This record gives sequence, structure tokens and C-alpha cells, in this order.
Amino acid sequence: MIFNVNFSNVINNLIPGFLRKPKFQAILNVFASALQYVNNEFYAETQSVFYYLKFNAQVIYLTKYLNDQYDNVQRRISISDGSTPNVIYLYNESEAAAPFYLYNESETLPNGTANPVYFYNNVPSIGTYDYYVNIPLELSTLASQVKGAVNQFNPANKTFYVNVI
Amino acid sequence: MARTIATIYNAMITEKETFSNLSNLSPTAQANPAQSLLTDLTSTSKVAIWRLIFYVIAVAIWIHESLWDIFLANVQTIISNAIPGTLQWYVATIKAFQYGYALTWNGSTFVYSTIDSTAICVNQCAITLSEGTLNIRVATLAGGTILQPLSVAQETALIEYIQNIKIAGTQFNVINQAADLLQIAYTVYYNPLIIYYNSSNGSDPLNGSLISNPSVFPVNNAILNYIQTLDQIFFNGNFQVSDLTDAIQAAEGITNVVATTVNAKSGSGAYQNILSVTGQIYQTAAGYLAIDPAYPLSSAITYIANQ
Repeated sequence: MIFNVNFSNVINNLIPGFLRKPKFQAILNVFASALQYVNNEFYAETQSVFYYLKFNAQVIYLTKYLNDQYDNVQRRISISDGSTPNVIYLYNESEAAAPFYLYNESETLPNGTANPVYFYNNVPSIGTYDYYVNIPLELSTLASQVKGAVNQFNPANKTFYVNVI
Repeated sequence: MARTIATIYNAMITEKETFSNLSNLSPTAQANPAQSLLTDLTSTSKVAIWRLIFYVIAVAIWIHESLWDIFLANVQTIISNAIPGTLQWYVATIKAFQYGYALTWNGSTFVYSTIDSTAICVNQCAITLSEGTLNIRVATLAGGTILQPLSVAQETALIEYIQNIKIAGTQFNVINQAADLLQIAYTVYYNPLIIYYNSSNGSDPLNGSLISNPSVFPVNNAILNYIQTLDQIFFNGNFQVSDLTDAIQAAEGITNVVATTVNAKSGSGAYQNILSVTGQIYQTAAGYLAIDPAYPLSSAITYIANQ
């Protein structure tokens, strides 16, 4: 869709041939110049909006958007899943959930493998982000901008971290 | 909504009339300014020049207002097609997966450059949500009728596809496993005028067939049709013993049906007795069922003539 209009052409075409005198055309073009300015601004805005609307929070789209914006040549920005924290829920006996056992270090686990259980503080730490936006070290100064860009698309219930690698 | 040229033109005239020092200019509001303007322009009227100026500017403004309408309509169209991220959207998108093709950017969206229906391998897909993780059950049709798991290579490609199309931060598991197996035993009471059964030879291959058409086995067909319907129409639906019993009951020549064994299992697990489960309902792990080949239907049905 063409949103940029050359109002000079439009106006000249609207003037009957016998009135197409340079001065008359010029004064009408002056009248339209303000509208031409508005149209130019409008056109730039439409292109920006249409570009923005092409993207969303899907990994493939978000990755393309970020690379287009910040690493257009090498395209090193990637998105990876956050690791799911190993949340341990405690149940009442009446809920009949499978029991969960904690062992001393000296005890051999039933499956014979090391299976330590970690307790985390209730603050953002490893494993608390839904996904990571990985950017190369060279772009580390742009981390806050990347975060802002991702926030434009990030679903309300998802957390992410811009990870400089 | 863009104003019409006449509306804009007349608004300008109205504005002009608020200036007393322009009262000598006499263009007035017009229902059709373009038509009257054409008439005036061919006359010697000096006023026509002013009206032309008004008209030209009105057209220019009208063009611009119209562009706003078009822009708004385009934006609304794009928004209405926005990715909803619902479970139904995931199912539809996963079913569109083409094995062997990569999504490519066409300038406005990621698409398959070639639509190849033969490359579509996810024929069944159901998604359930468990603690924030999408459990995506998939299966493919072999020979157009039998569901089976995707190949390892297909599953790997599918996982990569989902990694790309999913909403960032969404956790998912792809459950791509062989059908849950069903072990059944039924006692059916049949009408001996319709169903063939050789009571002196329980292994007669024609036992259970229609007398009028020995190639048709109503009970076996009813069971297989029920399972096929459950698999393909209600993929990941609940298997209910009463539904299977009803399906057999409805078979031609069958007067009464009693389920004696209905066991089901997932993978290499142990068989679970569905008859003893509350509601006699079984939720498949793979999303679909098949008769265990170790317990074929030929030995699963006990026929008793209805006297």
C-alpha cells in the first residue's frame, strides 16, 4: 500500500489546463506544503508501524527482529530457554503425593547416582527466567536497549534475561 | 472515517465566512462543488479561481484523510491475524509442520516457501497444559488409517520447529510414543440367524462373520472402528469402556455384550484393569490406542448364541 503522496502532482493535475500558470501552481503548492510535511511524517510512521507489526514474541520472529536491529550483519543474537527450577512442593499426608526423600551425603542413593537437591532463595537466581536473550560481548553496551526491545513483545507472564556471552 | 471532498470544501467555506473581510468572495457551500466549479471555470467569473483553490486543497486533505482510513484498516487486519498463542493455535501450527522444509522470511512473515502436503507428518496433535509446560502429543498416520509415532528424525525436526515457532519462554515436551495397548475380552450374545459361529471349532476363521457376507466381522469391525474414531477424531480423548461396549452392542447380529477384560497400558508398563477404575475411564499416555497384537481380537471374543 502506497501511503506517500506527492501533493504537488495531485494539485497540478486538479488545475484545468488553461489555468496552469507557474505562479498559480506555485501558490497552491505552497498551500499544500504543510500537508506534504504531515504526509511525509505519516508515511514514515506507517512504515515503522507495519514493520513492528510483523513481529511478535515467537522465538523465530523475536530473534529476527533483534538481529535486524542490533546485529544485522553477523546475526549472533539468539534466544534460549530458561532452565526450569527444580521446585520441590511439600504435601500433607492426606494428599497422597509421592514421598520425596532427602539423603545425607554419606548415604548411597537408591539409583546409585549423585542427585543433590538444591535449595534456592526466593529471589531471582539461576533458573528463574523463562528464557534468555543471548547477545555477544561486543554488543554488551546495547544490553539495556535489547531489553527494551524484547519488552515490546514479551508476554506478560514471561521473564527473561539479556545474557552477554 | 475520512470526510467527503464536499464536506471538507464546505467546512472551508464556512470558515471563510467567519472573516468579514473575505465577504466579497462569494463561493457558498455547495452540494456538489466539483460540478458547479466546472461550470464556473468556463465562465469569466473571477470567483471561480478562489473556489478552485478551495477545492484543490479540499481534495488534498481528503486524500490524506483517506490514507488514515486505509492505514487503520491495514493495522486492524494485521492485529486480527496476530498470533494468539492459544493451545488451539499451537495445535494448528504444529499440524502445519513440513518435514524437510525450513521456514523462510518472505518480507513480512515466516512461511514455507513451498507448500508440500506430502511433507506434513503430524496428523494428530493434542496439547495439554501441566504446571506451565505444554505436553504436546503427536502421531502420524501410516497408510492413511493407522496412527503411529513420528520417526526419530521427524521428531528431532519437529522439536526444532516448535523451538522456533513457540512463544519465547514457553516450556514444552513432545510426547511421541507408540499407541497405548488395549487388551480386551468380551462375551457377546449373537443372533445365530445372522452371525456365523462354528461351536465345534472355536478357531474356525469364519467365526463371528456375517452368514450373508463371510468377509464381514461385525464385532471386530465395531471394535476397530471405535478405536479408529477415538484415535483420529478424539485424539487424546478418554477411552471409556461403556463406549466400546455400546459400539459392539450396535454391531449387526449382536444382542447382548458383557465386558470381561479391559486392560490398558502405556509403553512397557504393566496392564491396568480399566473395569476396576472408577468410571471405567482410561486416559491414554500416547494420545491413542491400539489392540495389543499379543491379544488379537480373534481370540478376544467369546460368542454365545442367543437362544
